[in-house]
Amino acid sequence: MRVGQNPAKFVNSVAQPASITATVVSCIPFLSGFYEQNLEVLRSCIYSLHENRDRPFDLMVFDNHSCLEVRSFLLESFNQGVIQYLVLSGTNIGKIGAWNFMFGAAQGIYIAFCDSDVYFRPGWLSASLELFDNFPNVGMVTGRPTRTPAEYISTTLAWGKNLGEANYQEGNLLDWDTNLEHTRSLGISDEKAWEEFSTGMDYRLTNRGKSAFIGASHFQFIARKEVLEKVFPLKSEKPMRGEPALDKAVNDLGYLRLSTNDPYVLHMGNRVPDSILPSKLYNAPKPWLRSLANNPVIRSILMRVFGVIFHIYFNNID
Amino acid sequence: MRVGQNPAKFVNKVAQPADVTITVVNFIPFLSGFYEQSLEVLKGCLNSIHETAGPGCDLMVFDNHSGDVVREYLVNTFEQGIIQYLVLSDENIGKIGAWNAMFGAAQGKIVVFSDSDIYFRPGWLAESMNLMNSFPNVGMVTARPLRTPDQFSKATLLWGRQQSQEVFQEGTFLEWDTYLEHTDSIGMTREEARKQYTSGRDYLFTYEGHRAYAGAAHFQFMARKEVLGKIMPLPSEKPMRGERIFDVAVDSLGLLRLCTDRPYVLHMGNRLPPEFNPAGPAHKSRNLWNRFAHLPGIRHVLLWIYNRIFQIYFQEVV
Repeated sequence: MRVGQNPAKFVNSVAQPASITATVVSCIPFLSGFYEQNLEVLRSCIYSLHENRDRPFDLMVFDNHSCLEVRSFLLESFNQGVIQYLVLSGTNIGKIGAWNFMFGAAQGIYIAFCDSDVYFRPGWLSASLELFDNFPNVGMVTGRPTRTPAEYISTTLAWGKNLGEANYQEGNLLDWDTNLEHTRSLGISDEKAWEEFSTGMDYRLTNRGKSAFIGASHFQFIARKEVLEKVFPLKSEKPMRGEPALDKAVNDLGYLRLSTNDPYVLHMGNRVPDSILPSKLYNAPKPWLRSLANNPVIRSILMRVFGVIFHIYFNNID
Repeated sequence: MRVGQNPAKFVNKVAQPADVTITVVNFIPFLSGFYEQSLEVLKGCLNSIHETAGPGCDLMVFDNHSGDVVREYLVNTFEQGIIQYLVLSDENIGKIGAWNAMFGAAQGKIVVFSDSDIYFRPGWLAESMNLMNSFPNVGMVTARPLRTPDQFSKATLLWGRQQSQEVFQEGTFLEWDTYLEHTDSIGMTREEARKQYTSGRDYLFTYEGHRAYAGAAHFQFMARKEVLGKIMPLPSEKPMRGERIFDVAVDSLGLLRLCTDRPYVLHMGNRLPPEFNPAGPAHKSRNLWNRFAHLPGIRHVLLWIYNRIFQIYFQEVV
């Protein structure tokens, strides 16, 4: 039974959500193999977000059933006030499942999203929001210039072409170093990157004195909550994959998809880049070991073992 | 940079949300005074949900910035697999603020809400679903009969009065013991309870073979996600109070507000009822193979092997 009055009834105010909610999804099932350094990558992501709050925002992290070490780090960050909303999920509901959850829960007018392997540089938020202020009908903005498949930018291209020559440019506009930084982060060889760079095309718009590249990416973006409400929920079928459905929906709804002129965010992948932690982290395998490992029979056996161990720990998180 | 391929890309399925999402909001800032037994009450709430809800439900708990001991209990309960989604907030955003977040995030077609001082008895879910599915245009269902102010059930009473006498009856139908159990739980004196009982009236429906009373309460209810989508978000101004706006909104939409004819849930207040089972549910069990795989030595060795194989086949020399 109720004895006395709940003192909370006499409190006359509560914290209000920030106008921006930054959301991050993490899934690190164990710290080995591909995921060996992912806790350090996640730490860089969360800390860089926290250290670069040039405008106030709430940070919401959705943990898609990571291992104990990762959950401990997230709880520690929550206790330190780095994370405002920590969501622990008992199962991996996929990246899109996490989007459905977070974009529904987030109460900001703007929602920023990033994978847990993205590093933020100073000014990323202001630079991204400036594009919302200076371009009409913006659907999503990514904090670095990215080349995006044509099918997802048709609305933006059509709008841009009406701006006239002074405000619409196409050609090889992205600088090589910026492109290289991103392609290296994806594990693309420099030769392949150069081939794609020299044959590709960029589109840049200028409106109210602000420039932006056409194209955005679902690994990191900002969107208005009201736009996301028109798109979500999306069907979640696999842990990864399927995210271009967001790019397509935003384009099909007639919104612009833009990215900043400068690379304010950096995709780290599964290794913290030297620019953040300048050390050589690995030793090369010995040549004789590599030849042995490439023996088809050995390779087949080891890859089978690799797969079995992955499934043991991916499906049975601590 | 990305080294190798994320093995999760080759996993072809993810957990899907259950059809029913049960949401609980909790706020226990410290364990003394009014809150002295609140942790035990919270355990009674969560354990009773776990024991009565069945496998087709996800349990989501939103902790509105409770004290360390309570958060630690919630994290442990999450680790045991009792809570599917644990949301930790670093500020108290109010009960309505938590509603905004939880009802937006919940992916079940049916959403159940409960304060953290509610005890659930077997049959609450099935009987609430029966009313939801058999009556037309149901907005919310509470799993115990209650007398609630007529002004919040205008649509329900209007619909009832359009039905035959076999379907809708007015009078005293609620059992005294059932009535008393609730008034005791809110600290009302027996004299006051008797006075209100004799002067009040009930509205009883018998429809499609199911009995229900008119009226529902915001301390515990079931609603369709699509209905909540029409009402939320609501302004959150105080930690408690203001929830009536929800009752008003459901009624204004012309939807029925009903409660079951038997007391399937019990408001505990801040003291445990005698029927509470303090032992709680057993820990999540693992099969022999999983326990073996997570033995410290075995896990270490298998993940070391996994890492070596990954380095041989996927890691570029840096």
